[in-house]
Amino acid sequence: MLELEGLRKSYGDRVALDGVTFSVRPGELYGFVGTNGAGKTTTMRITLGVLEPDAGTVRYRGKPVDAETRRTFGYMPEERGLYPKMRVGDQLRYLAELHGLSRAEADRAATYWMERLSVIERAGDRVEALSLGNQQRVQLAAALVHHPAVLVLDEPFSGLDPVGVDNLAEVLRERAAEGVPVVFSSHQLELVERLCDSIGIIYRGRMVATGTVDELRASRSERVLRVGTDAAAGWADRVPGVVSAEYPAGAATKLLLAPDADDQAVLDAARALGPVREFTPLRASLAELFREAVADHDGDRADGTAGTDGPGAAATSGPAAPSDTADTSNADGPAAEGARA
Amino acid sequence: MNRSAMRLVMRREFVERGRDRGFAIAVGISLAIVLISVLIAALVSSKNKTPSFDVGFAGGRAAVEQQYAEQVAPNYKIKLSSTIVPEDGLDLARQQVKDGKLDALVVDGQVYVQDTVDAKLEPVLAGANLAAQVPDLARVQAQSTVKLAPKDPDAGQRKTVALIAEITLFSQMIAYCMWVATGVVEEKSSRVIEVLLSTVTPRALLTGKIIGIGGLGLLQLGATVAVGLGAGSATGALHISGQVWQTVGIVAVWFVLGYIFYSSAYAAVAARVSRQEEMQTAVQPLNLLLMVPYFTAFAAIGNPDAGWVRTLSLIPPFSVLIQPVRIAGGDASWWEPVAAVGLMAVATVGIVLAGARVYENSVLRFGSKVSLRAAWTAGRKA
Repeated sequence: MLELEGLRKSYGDRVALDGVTFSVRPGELYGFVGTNGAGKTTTMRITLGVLEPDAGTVRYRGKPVDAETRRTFGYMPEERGLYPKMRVGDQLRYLAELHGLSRAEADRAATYWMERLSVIERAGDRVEALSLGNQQRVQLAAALVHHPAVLVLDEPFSGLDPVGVDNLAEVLRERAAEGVPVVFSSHQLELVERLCDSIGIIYRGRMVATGTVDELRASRSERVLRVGTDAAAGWADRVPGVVSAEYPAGAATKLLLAPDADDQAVLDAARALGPVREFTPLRASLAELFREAVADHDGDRADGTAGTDGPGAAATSGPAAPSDTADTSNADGPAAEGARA
Repeated sequence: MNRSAMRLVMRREFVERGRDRGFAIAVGISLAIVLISVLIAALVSSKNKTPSFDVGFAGGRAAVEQQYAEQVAPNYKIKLSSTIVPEDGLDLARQQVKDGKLDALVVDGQVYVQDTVDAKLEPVLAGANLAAQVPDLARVQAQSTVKLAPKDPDAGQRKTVALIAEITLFSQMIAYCMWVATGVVEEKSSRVIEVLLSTVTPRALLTGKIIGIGGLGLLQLGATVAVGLGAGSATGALHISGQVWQTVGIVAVWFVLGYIFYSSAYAAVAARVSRQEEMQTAVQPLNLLLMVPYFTAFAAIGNPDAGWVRTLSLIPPFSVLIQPVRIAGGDASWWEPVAAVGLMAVATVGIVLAGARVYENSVLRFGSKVSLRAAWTAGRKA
């Protein structure tokens, strides 16, 4: 089990992490989502020991992680990093050896992963001669080449074509099935929802929600119903428990229910007005859960000192919620900022 | 564990840089320079070679004349190979003089030559002529020289060796330090640094890089020395003495010290920037810090025993390039190089520690140039 507890990190006055705590069980695929500058990269860098936290600990199998343990971790940074002029095979062997493999093991592992990720025929080429997609595969091989005990991947899916996405998803599942805790960050929320056992949402340096998607749904205060009926618009306005209703012309009514509302009473009310062709509780997508979680915590840090992913990312702080729930405390944060999230 | 990581980094730098075309070109150029300078030296020194003469002696006094001439020839700095020409060989010998196969034929006080007697040969033959007319040759007192202010016979060679040592040291140091700087920025700009630092400490990475690239530098130095000495002794331009080996030793020691000193500084400066173009500007002050002692060294080479040269040759980092100049001088005290190396070693330890600190604090800060203050104080915690 990989445990992060109370990680704190400031860059000068800017607070990047404000007590990040979560844990990843062996064999679990953990999706780490958050707005730009929320602290994902900082968290990952700290996990890998690339950065030192101001406070907090990272534990693996119950023990604080030291340099020796970290060598067994696999890491794929957000900004891809390989020696441009080094040959693919040499590079993978080198990184494998740096992580403690013997020369022979490193050679075997490098060959295996180059084959597995279909870059074996480029083994003798310099990295800079490869297409971006192939460079990405090599990058992935670099994170996997030493049979890591823990995998931490920052935006591994970005820039991959659909086939590449499927490949990577398969590899990650396979690693997890071998009992490796896998953490990855992504802005592709549908993918995260489909792939991950657990999810953590970070916002402005704090974990605002953690759990399985179902747990996140369950903790949601509101429910949405779609009701297909011929009743005139406005039919549900007075039904007990309905908070708001939308009546799109020619389509099913969309109802937002209060947490304690009785959906059977709503069904009865609809049936009393005519035939009901559809009655569907809408499952919130991860994207919706994410927007809600972020919106709920929007006022948490009214001082506007949002976290960033690094000293170079200072300009990206500010309102970054991917919805129109813009941060009113920071009026100069244009919607364009949010669109980058 | 960290040491093995450092060794891996070292090996990578050595192998990858060694495979780089830049290295082959650098070695090729330096070897070409050495070869050319040796050839020039060989040509120049062959002009100053001791001239040699073939002389035939004939007639009744031939034996005495030959004996005397052979005896005094070295005093006149000529090489003499002489033969006694028998009576019936005279015609042939005269023909040989005519053809230029013999430089002179001496027969009873007559000197047969093509046109004139060579100025260097003349006094020897004149002396022989006189000596042959003295009844008892053993009683002729030889003239001897007493040197009151002797010149070092190797002074010229010393100066040349010091000059070559200077040029080699400087060009090697600047080239390999730039490689370190380029390597640091390469890791930063490609962001591979992040992957590396998840498994290696910054210090191990820096140390491995400096040692690996420095190893290549020593390799090049070794090749240069081998080719230089080989060609030098083959062409006779250089006479290999203890002094030459001493020079090689001095250059090696100063290269190692100077390289460690400067490369740490170059690495620290390079770690503060994120792109190669910025690096070029950032290392300018360091280039200057190498070039000023270098040009000072050229001024010093003409007067290697002057007081200011002695003083500068002790002060780091001037000592790196000024101390080898003292090779050209004859009278360094034993303690001078020892003190210079000692002081430089202390300075090097200091700069290595400072450089590692700046490197460690800067290498993960991307974007604009890291301020010196942040680089000095912040730590990875920032």
